Amino acid sequence: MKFLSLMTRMGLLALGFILIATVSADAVWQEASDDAPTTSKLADDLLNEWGLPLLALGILMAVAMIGAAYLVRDERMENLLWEFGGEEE
Amino acid sequence: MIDPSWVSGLAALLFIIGLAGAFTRKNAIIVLMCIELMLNAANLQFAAAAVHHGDTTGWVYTLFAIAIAASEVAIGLAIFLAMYGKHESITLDDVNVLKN
Repeated sequence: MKFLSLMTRMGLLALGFILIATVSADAVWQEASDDAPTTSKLADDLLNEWGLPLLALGILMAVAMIGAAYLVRDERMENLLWEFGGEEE
Repeated sequence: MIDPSWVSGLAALLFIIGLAGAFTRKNAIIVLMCIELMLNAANLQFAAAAVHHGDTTGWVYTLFAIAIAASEVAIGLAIFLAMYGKHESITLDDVNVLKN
């Protein structure tokens, strides 16, 4: 088990070195564009080109919030009674 | 302006730190934080590429990833609360069945 753990750590370290060397290489970042993206262009793209995915994302977030609220619901007796309009004895 | 290759290197470093934490830690909240670290590393990479190529697509992906990460954290913390209510622990070793 210790050997496996050691090998995992060594693999992660090697992966880290390879990843940093690869993404930082100058060849990847050649041919930079002259025009910088602007926030107005971003807003324009979000509402036109990406309108439907943005809508789907809103629905996803709403569903996630409802799911989270359902998962953390408090099922103590006083809360259940309050929810159904009754009074605790 | 900072060279995008440096930003990219930082993103790779953050990703590896997150990956190592997610593999080695057992506390559920720390694992969730490490997953968030990996997501943010990817966001950093997207933002660097967007600036480099002069295209807003990377920014759009970043915004989407941030929104999905927020949903994920909400669900994750709710699951941890439910887990703590049942097991009185959020150590991942204690939770090994996907039932009840």
